Amino acid sequence: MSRTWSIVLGVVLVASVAMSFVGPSKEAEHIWDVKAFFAVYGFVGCVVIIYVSKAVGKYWLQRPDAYYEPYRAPAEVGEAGRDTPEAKEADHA
Amino acid sequence: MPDMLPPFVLFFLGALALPLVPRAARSWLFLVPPVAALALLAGFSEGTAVTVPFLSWELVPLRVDRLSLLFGWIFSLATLVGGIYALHLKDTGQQVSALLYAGSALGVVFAGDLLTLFVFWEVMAVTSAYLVWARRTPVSLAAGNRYIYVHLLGGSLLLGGILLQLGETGSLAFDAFTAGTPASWLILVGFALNAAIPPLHAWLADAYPEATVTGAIFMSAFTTKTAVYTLARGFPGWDLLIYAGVVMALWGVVYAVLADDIRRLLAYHIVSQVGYMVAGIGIGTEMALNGATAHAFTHILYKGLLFMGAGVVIYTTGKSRLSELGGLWRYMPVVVVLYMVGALSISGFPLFSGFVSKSITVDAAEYAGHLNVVLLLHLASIGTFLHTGLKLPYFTWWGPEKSYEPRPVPWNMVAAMAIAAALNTLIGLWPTPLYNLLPFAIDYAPYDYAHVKKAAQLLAFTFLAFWLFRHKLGGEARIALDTDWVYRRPARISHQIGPRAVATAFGAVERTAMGVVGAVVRLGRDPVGALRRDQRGSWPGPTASTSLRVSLGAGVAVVVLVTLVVFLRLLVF
Repeated sequence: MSRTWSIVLGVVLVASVAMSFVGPSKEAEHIWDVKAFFAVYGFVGCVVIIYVSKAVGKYWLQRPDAYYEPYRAPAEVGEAGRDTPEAKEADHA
Repeated sequence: MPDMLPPFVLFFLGALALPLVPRAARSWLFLVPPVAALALLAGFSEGTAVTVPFLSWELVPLRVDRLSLLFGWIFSLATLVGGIYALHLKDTGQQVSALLYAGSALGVVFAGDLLTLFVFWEVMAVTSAYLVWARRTPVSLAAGNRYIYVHLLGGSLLLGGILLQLGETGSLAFDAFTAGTPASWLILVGFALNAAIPPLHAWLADAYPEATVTGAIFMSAFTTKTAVYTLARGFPGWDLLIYAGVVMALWGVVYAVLADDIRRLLAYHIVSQVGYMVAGIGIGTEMALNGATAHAFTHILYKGLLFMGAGVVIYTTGKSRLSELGGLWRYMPVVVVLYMVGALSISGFPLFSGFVSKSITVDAAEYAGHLNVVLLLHLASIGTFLHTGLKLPYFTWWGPEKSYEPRPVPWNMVAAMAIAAALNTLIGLWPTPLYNLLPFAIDYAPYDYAHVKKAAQLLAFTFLAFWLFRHKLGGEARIALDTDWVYRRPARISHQIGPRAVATAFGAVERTAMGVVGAVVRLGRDPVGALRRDQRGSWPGPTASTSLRVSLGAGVAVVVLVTLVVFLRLLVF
């Protein structure tokens, strides 16, 4: 990221948090009424999503591309790769 | 009486006429039914219902109320925009099936009875499967097969529920189900499958990425949203749907992290977004139903736009995986900007459509006291911006450039994207026209200080986290197992107990029926000979005189058939 964009991002980050401290605010009723709650939630939530999903994928769900290749139904036999000439032709049709 | 004409008729007539006009005119003719439908809808008045007697029931092919009208408007609009996106297409099969698909989606939302709904439901399954097959690759053929098997299974459950419902109540009317009878549960499962509620959702992420570039636009609009309509009509306020919706919203987010194919990523975010709608329907208050339907409306516009952007990438490069893409932006800067309008809409960025509809839905959850739901939906919203708004564009259009020579983008694709982007922006800036379509009166101001502050903080800090951790997010050339593993891993067995078993049973019934017919014919042709059937089981040749044989034969045939009919009648009822 260039210097200019870093500054823009910084300004946006600070400004969004500042909105919690200036301007109208209501009495804290729920957890999200805590000042700057959504800034923290956005950052932490995003990191949690990335790490939890990646861990779930790595240790449980992810398989090689050709995982289902040996397990084809009889009707599917003959299945080849996705980047066949026909696929490109069909996409370009 | 144009205000009594069910809109599907226009689309079915269009599909019939399409192959008859010169090839060059077909993609333009495609635009006529949706335009005519928009004009037709403008003349509809709420409360109209057309009934047609059928056997001992009344079918209702047209029921106009606020709920069906809202979906009617957006489906017609989506067909029009999708048709413009597909103007360059020279594939009559796809055009015809897309028109039939759109028409039957309208057939479902305007159907006032369950039988009519079911018929259109099945036509949708077949015609949309064709949009997968039409890519004509072995992969898409197999994906289309799985898609239609799953949908036919869902359709069978739905039909079973409808027949049970008919048996219990004697009525085919489609209104809100209040009792948890076996019939309503079966119907709910049938609807849930099309709404892609886990664990019945895997068909979506399996098939959509394999559909044709233009076919996927229609698929992203119709199947799940007709299911949202049917859930909103039939199951508002069913608590189970709240939790199902939250699970959907987060399920899609997790799998989108793992997705490598750009349209698979977007497909998982259909699951996620439909989760908001399903949760809203489960909450069931007027505001929540307004939110759910408003979100369905905007979702069709922004998700179509996103699929169009991904389609341009696939059309021009022939590649669809993040691990093979990168650095494309200078070949298609306008497309990138238009895609980003869709991405900001789905992320709930102020000024764009998703901000309005998502705010209504989430606020409805808060007012109804579902505070955990609110937090989890916000979490899903973070994931949405992370993938659709940041990961996909970053690794497709920025990032290290791969070597390819993209083809030029057809003007009509860009035009369709521009229209969709304009509509998303318009609704974001001025939601009143959308409000006027919602099923209940609404007085809601999305642009207050708290909403804007919330969106600004969520989005800005999601961006920060993405930027710091983006090295973790690149596409991996791997697949992530989903619930379709249950039938794909044991494919041979599931093929035996699924399609093969049905085919075998059908074959047995057919052979038996034809055998009975053949026996009756033989008996009728030569009853004396038949009765003297020899020990080898063969039928000896004619012995009686021709005239006797014919008259006696006719008599025996009638007696046998009448006996059969009476017997079956007694057996069945």
